[in-house]
Amino acid sequence: MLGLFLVVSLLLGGLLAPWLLLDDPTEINLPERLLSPSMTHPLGTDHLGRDTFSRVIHGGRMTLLAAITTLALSMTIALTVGIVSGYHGGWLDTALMGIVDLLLAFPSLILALAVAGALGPGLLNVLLAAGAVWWVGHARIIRAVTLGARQMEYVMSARVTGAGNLRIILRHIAPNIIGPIVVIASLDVGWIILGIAGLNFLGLGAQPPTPEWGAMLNDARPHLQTAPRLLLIPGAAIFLAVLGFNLLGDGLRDLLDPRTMQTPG
Amino acid sequence: MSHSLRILSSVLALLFLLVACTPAAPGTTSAGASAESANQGSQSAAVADAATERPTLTAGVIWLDSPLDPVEGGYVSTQSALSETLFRLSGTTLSPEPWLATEATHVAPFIWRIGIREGVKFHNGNVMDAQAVKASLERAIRLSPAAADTLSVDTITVEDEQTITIKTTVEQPTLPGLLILPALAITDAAAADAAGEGNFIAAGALTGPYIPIEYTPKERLDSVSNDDYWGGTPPLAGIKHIAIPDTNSRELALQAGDIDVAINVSPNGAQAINAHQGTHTETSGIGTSLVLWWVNFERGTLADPLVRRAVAHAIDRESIAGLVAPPGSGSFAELLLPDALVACPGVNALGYDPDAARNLLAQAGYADSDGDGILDKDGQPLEIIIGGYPERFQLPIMAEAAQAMLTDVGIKTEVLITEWSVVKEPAWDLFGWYNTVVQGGGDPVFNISKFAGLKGDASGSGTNNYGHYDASRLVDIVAPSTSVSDLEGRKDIACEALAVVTEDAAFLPVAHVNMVYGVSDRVTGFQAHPTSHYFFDHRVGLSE
Amino acid sequence: MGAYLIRRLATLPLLLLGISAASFALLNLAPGDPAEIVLRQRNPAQLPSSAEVAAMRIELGLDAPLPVQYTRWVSRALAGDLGQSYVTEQPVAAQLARRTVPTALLTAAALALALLVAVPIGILSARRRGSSLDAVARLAALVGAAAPSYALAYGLIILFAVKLSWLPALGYGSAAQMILPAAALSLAPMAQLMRLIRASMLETLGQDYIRTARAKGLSEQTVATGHALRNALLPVIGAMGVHLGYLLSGAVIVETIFTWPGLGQLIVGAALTRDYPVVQGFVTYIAVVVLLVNLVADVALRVADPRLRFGRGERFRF
Repeated sequence: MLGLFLVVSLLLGGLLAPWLLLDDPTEINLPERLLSPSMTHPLGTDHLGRDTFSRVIHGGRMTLLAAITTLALSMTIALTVGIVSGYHGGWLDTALMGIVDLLLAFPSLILALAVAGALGPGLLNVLLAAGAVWWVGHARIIRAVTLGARQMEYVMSARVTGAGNLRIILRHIAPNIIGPIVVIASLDVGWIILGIAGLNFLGLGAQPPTPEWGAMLNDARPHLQTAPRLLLIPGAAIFLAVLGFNLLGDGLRDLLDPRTMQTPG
Repeated sequence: MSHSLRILSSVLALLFLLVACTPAAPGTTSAGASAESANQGSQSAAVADAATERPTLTAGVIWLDSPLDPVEGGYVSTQSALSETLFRLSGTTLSPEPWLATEATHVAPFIWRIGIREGVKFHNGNVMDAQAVKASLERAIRLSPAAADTLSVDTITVEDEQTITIKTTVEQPTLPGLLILPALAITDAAAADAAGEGNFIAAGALTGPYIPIEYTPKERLDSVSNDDYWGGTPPLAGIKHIAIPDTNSRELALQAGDIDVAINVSPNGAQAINAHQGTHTETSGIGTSLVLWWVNFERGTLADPLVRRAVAHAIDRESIAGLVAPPGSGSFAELLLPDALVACPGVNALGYDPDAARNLLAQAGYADSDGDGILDKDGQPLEIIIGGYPERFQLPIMAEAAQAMLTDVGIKTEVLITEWSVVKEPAWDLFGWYNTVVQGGGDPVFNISKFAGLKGDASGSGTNNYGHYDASRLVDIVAPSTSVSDLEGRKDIACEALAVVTEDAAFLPVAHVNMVYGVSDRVTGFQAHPTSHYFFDHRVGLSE
Repeated sequence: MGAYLIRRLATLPLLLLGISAASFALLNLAPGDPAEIVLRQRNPAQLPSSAEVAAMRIELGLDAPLPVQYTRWVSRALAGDLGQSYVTEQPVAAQLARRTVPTALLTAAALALALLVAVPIGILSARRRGSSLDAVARLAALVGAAAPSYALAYGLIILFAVKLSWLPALGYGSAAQMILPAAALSLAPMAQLMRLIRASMLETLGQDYIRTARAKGLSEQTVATGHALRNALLPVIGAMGVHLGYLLSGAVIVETIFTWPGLGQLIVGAALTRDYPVVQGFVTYIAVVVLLVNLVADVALRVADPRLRFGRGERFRF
């Protein structure tokens, strides 16, 4: 429930940010830099005099957008590879799983770091890098689920009666995959948020003045000792968002996965 | 339970696979060997410690990556008190002062006579005489293109044990200043060549108060005291340098007592260090590092003088300077060079004036025809890109502040913080840059010419000029300087040149930054040099 | 078992070839001319002329067509020569070898710490499912998994090194210097392992043979520690390659902050300065190590768990 609450408020904040009558998150005001929290600036101002509260809310929008884009990208690849591999089988399965095995050997953040380092910094490059490496593990799971579904009797009989592949996939296989996908996706958003923030922290991500939590953390590093608030606020935002998605994912798994519903003894 | 233990231990055993999986057998041995020699290094330092009861100082630096051999572009040796040059840049007057030389006389337009200090020995015990200095300079000219290019030497002649004469191919009125270049540190040429590449430490070919014993680039550099040092025995048993690229980590390490000196701390770090008990900061009185924006003439947008002047008016550089180099760590750079090098009262830069900027843009034909808040001309929006690299914390902040100011006058602005080697790629209009302005021994003409891509004799392609500024107007001003050796005359030339580049808005200087060092209260005799040429000398010590 | 091992070993060279091609392609997609980068590294004050750049391209072998460059690179790599760093001009293989030890020590310490905490708490949490201990442990695991390691690292330094002066803030060499980075690095895997162990414990406790064991009259204690733990730890082994990946990824950030002279610091520096040979060599090396660890983990899993010999191999591969 807490997870749902956190995620919903994050989504609401992100969606409504432009209409919340907040200060412009990119408007600098040098005389009012590094102000402590007050009525006009509930979370104070940053090193360029921008309103921290407004930046955190807009940052949530950006972070969420980035995470969902990455997720959509990696899920599309994972679904395509997983279903094709599991449903088609044979040499295609062997070849695709070979590629998956190969890519599994590259730790994702390190590969993303290398890709982002090679392409140059930028939020889009980070998203591409993260999306391009994130699908690998999921492709395996989706393949396994597809494989399982394919061997069920009603799918077998559908094939025998000459139903088209696409029809079988949509009618019989997809319903089996949706559960695991929803769980993986919600658990993943947390990981992706952490990963993107990590790349931003290393200076490879969003470019100014984009309000983005990881980039805000990176901007605040010089103020670690003099204005730790500037690190703590985006840090807490990342923490709460990740926590929210993890809780949501856990809850969904309990709901959708009958295995964990068993009570021992 | 025993099963579970076995599984647990097999899990742990898997971990150690990592250790076992080193790329190649020879690699593994070399790793072992270097770890061993590192141990020996610290042991021998410890032995020296015990014998003389002198403490060892530990310093944290940003970069530690250049080779120790000065001719390989190495600044590390001079910086770390391992090597010395004939002349040294004074920390107070920013002019050359004798170091391994005793004097220099300009005997004829092309000829300098240089006296060599007596009683100097290389670390290997060989005596540094005129012959050795000649061999060292000749080796530098042979192996370092930058050194050869800077000096333009024709011949070097040994007059007697302590005197050489240098004949140059062009007039070099400021030769002592050029001899400050770290690549020209005096080296035992025969020993260095005999030791061969990768074995420079063994050659003992340098002269400084500390002797390198172990160097792992990008990690650490350990040195021990040179007890035969010509300037007197150093009070330390040795100095350990650790590379700590992250500014926060460097500042925190100082406060935690892991290091005694933190080279380069940020204004915020300085605040924390001064508030912390047992540490304080030492700041050089003069800011000799310039933070500026190169203006890209090649990309087109800023080639239009009206737009260029508008941009100069639109950015409140003085406020930004207050942001990136607040009092105590630097000052506003209205002109390229700090007053300490040359003061030009008659030359004024374009000041902050957004209305003037808007007028100039209107004159240039820009108007907001579609009402989106961004000016445009012929259907094209007015857009500029501000670049910079992240290692210098000033550059991203500067870019972001300027971005907001330019947006205010209707210029769409993008910020691109990227690794600095892309500076040549014409993907930017303004590029933030941080570097010293005391090259060539602090000669003002040399430093201005360098920005515009001119050599000291006003011939082209001297150096950076990253923005492809057309320096033709400067040539006639700078060329006569080859025959002017008195400082006042050179300053007049420098002011004339500054007036031209300022009027053209050829570069946008922001701040002159001081060197700020974080220092433990135990450190004694520390001199905060305004450049990053010399971090330590033979006087620095550590009390108990 | 034999057939499985042979099949795995047979695909190994193919995978290695793929890894090398992937790492090679990655860096060749990058913008910028390495020859120019090298010259700039050597002399930052001077823009290299086009003649110098052309000469450097020949010196670095960049003038050859890509397939030739690739073949050259692979044949050298097989002989243990991964080229030279553009920046320090040291051999890449030796740099990797030297930096492997600190990273291995750090990751081993972090993983040991993670297991030391995660195994007992994961078991207790599963055995007392629904208790307040379980609730606290689950919450702690969630918190641990959601905390950004860089924030944690700075927090640890400020508290234990600057404020309390108990431990050094950074450096490498003594055991005391390893405590803070290992703690910062271990939190995320600790949380994950705790969840993994709890989940697989719960699953095992619900299985038939455990019920049989209970029915046979074995005490709750023996059942939990003996039979169940043994099976609950299997997924931990199965996921070892994945965890190694997480640890190495985390080490990139932790090593940067603690100035730990390991592989993570090497790769960040190399990526920022576009030191291509180092990035290329590093990515290849890590991939090979993870691949081998995965292989050994799979084989170990099959040896330890006879049930897997009958084709249920996919279960623990996630």
